[in-house]
Amino acid sequence: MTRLAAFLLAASSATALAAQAQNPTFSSKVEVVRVDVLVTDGGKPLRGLRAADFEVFDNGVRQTVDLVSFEQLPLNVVFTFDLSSSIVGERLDNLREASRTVLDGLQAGDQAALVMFNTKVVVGSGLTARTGLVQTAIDRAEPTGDTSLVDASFAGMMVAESDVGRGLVIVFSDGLDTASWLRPKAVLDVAKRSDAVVYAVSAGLASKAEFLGDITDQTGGRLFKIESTRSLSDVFLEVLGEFRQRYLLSYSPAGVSQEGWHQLTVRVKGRRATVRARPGYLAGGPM
Amino acid sequence: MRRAASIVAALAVVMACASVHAKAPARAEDPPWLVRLSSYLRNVREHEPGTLDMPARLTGFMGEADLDDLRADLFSVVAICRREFGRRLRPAAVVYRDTTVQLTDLRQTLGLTETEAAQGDVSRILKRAAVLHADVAMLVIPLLPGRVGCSSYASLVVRDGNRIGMGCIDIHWIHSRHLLDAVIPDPAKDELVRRWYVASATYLLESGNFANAKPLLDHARLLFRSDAEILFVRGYYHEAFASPPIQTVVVESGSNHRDARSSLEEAEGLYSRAVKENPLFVEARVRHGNVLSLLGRHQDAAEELRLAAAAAKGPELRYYAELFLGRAEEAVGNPSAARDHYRQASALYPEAQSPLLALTLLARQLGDRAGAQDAMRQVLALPAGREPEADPWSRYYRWQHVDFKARFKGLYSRMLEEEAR
Repeated sequence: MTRLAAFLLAASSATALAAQAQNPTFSSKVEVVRVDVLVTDGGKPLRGLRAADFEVFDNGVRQTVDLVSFEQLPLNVVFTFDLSSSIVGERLDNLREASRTVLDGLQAGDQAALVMFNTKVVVGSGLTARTGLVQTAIDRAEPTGDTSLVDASFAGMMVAESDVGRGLVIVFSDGLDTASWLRPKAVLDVAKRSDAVVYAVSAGLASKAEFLGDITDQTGGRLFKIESTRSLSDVFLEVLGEFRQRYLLSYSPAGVSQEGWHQLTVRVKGRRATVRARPGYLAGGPM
Repeated sequence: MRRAASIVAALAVVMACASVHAKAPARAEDPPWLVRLSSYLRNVREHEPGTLDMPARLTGFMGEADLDDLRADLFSVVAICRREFGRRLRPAAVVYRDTTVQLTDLRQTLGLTETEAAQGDVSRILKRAAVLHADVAMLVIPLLPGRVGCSSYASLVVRDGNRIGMGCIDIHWIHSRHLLDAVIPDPAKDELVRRWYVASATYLLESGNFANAKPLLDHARLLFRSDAEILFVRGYYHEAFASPPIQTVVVESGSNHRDARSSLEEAEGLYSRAVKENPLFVEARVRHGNVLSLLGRHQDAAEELRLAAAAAKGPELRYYAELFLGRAEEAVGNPSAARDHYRQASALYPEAQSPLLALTLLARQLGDRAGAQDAMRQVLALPAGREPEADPWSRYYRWQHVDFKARFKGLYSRMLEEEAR
């Protein structure tokens, strides 16, 4: 396999992704870049766009774009929650309530998973359509220990990638990393190759975590800094709502090199819309 | 609940204290300073090192001013002994603090031999007292309520990067250092003093008690500039200070403290000197390698860690050496060697998460998605709730190959050997 990009999914067409959601395959013949895109106008999501409305430039080279309708692909929502010793009382209650709100908002075919972190990373529930299992795992979790934010963010992306579908990683933390083995730079390099979109919600000290800002930027997600977890349910719902409004573009790279960093530019033709997407992707092996 | 338990324990100690004093053969005519000094030195003599016995409990109730006054009296009477016992025509009594004291009583109070008295050499007592105060700091003060045993200065208590309260600058560590400074002929050449510093620093660093470790290490630096073990514990302090749990608090407080890199550079220099002083000091090599890696000197780190991995004894030290070497090999572009070292680390601690995460990331960086998912499945299949035993990485900044218990055991043995001579 030419190592164009670690996150390239192989499929003869992007629409075939939905059909093979349960059994991803990796072919060396056809390589497709997926770009999750949020388009807003005046702060509100712009709906109804078609593939022809988008312009995608890969390292400055215009590409032919396909549009995967988001209804065709189920969501893989991976909660990546800080359950260190500081998540107690009202903060824990609000986190449980907020996750319940998101799980209630999932649709048929969507899946959810729970990755918890404290001194280590623990999977509370793998990807499953039985969202009750995920909620039970959250409700049973007992906060303790330190904060492995970087390790867990990596694990969350890996879980999101473990099944074909649109990976949404929702990271919540109230602290800075105190225990990870992995280094932020290495995980950010992986983020540049990942299809998963990372949204993060930080409370308290976590608002000073550069890592969360970096990983959300690299994956085209967004960082929400909140003062109090009382608004957590609203923020989580906003994340889910925003993610559902995103367009999934795909293209087979043409006229560009097989290695290295590829700068992505996504525009909407003839409109002054705001486009939010990953800034690029990393192709090939380690750099 | 814990506070209530502390208060009950404190009351028990006070009652016991009263009972012991009632039995003490204090003479009505003795002035308070002499009663206090006699009582203190009796506790020093009777304390069994490493135990939470009555002499340690009684000493734990002494305040900062008590210890300052006591030390002044102790050093004064030692000076009197040296002056008067050295004379050919020795007086029967001397006057100190408006009190006439018989010289023989004074020597008995101090518990000195005739030779020690003549030389004004109270070193044996001072060293025993320093051991007592270390035991008080470790075993008694944590049981006492409020700020008993604390100086007027305060420190921060941190958990998971968050400030959770005010800590204690323990007067017993301070007092011990003052006592050991008076050891003759030179505390810097005294093996027991050196061991006391290494053991105490190890305890404080393993406890994450940086506030008390700092002045102790600053003092150790003045006494033992080139000692490999002192260099090592000083390096450990700076390495741990640069670690995320501590730096998190620095970020939170917005303080203008030296950044993590400065601390790492300091640690690097100290570990480097420790290894030069003792090339067989494997743990210093392991930590030196890690610090070099954190400073981005990956080639140097890989060389140091290869030596360390080849010589490391004991599973934890070998684990750290393999894990860090994996990272260094990865950084210098040897992914295959990196994978081997991570696997060796994983074989040493099969339930450890860090080497498996490293293998997952390595595979993912190489574009091996399937391999990365396989490795990730192993990470996620690990049993929960076994930290920190399962993965030594989680206690790296609180662990030393020779722990404080072993260090203190060595200290006590040395003390008994010296006293038996």
